[in-house]
Amino acid sequence: MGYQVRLEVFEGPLDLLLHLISKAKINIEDISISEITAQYMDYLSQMQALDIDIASEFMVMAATLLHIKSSRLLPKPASQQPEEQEPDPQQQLIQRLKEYKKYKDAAEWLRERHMVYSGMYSKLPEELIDTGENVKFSNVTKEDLAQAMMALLNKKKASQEAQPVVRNIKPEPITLQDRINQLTALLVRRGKVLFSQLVRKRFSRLYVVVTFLALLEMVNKGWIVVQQSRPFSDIFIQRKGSRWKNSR
Amino acid sequence: MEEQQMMAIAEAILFIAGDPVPVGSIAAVLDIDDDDARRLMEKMAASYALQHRGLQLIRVNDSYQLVTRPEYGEYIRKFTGMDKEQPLSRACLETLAIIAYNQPVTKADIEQLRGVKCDHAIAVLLDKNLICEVGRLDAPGKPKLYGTTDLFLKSFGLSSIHDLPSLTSQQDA
Repeated sequence: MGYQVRLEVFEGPLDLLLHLISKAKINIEDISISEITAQYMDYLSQMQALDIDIASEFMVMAATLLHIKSSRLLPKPASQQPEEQEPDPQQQLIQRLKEYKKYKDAAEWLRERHMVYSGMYSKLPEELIDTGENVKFSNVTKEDLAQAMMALLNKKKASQEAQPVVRNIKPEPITLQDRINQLTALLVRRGKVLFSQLVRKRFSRLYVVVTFLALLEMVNKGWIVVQQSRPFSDIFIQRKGSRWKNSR
Repeated sequence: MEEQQMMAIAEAILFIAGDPVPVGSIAAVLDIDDDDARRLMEKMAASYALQHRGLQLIRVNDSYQLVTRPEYGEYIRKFTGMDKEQPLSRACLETLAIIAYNQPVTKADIEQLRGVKCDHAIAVLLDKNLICEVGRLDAPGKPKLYGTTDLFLKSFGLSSIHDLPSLTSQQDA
């Protein structure tokens, strides 16, 4: 015949100790360490028997309790050193329990408040859009609106009916790697160069962009340093690092 | 301007704002000083309460907000089909209590008081926006410091953190 055990769940060793203390109907200050230790260990073994993972904090507390208990049992050394400044571990534990109890009570107070006040709802802020006074709708009629719509629809229709255009995709005139190679070769010869000199001859947008990207890549690799005295001024490019060791 | 009219304007502003409105903003719109605005809002709050309206005016720190009365929450949930919010776990409530009374406070301090790890509770409370990081302690490791938010005050019906009851509670063990 089996039986069911219901184990209360505790928030931690302090919580469990408080429970044991309140079950014994004693004040925190009056706890008997040996009694409470026995009960505490009982609880842990019940947990073990039920295959519940015991958090390490419970073990630490068990050790603390046993330590306090054992130090009670052992006779104190006769030569009581006055330098025994160490705080009494039992008093420390009592202090911690009292402190914890305060917050446990406060948590209960908060729980009750929350039950009441979580039923309070508020509204999201209204999204009032500023229409702006710059936009003036003077002399605009609904016919204008209709006309605009028709124009749009016609445009769409026309584009749908148009024949598909065949375009050749041209190969890129220059790739990033090509440009890096070119710039490297140039720097091997010259050592330093201005950005304006690099883009002087063939001034297409793509060419400038690729040149710039190539420089960024080379900066990133640590091959060159770039300097600019102020925004939009020319960029001074100089080689850097061991890559250039064998060049002049 | 007559008081009645100022109250009506403030009410309209609070309705549009939804969120808590700082006393200073109300004062600025009405062109009165903050103390007068505060008095006006308190009077308005009292009149809402007196008339047993579905809405009430609450104070959160130095801001005011229009919210529904908690006793009608269940009707609002019925209307919207929302479920009741899951109550906070005891671990969360204990952690929240420690933060509320000791803020700004580090995780290590909280764990010392509770005697257990609090990572999960702190993550939940952060997620629910009941607490927030308020800085870092100038100590080894620069641990994060936690404090409560205005939403915390609102969710627990507090006007300010000073409304928390004193901690030297009853000693019945």
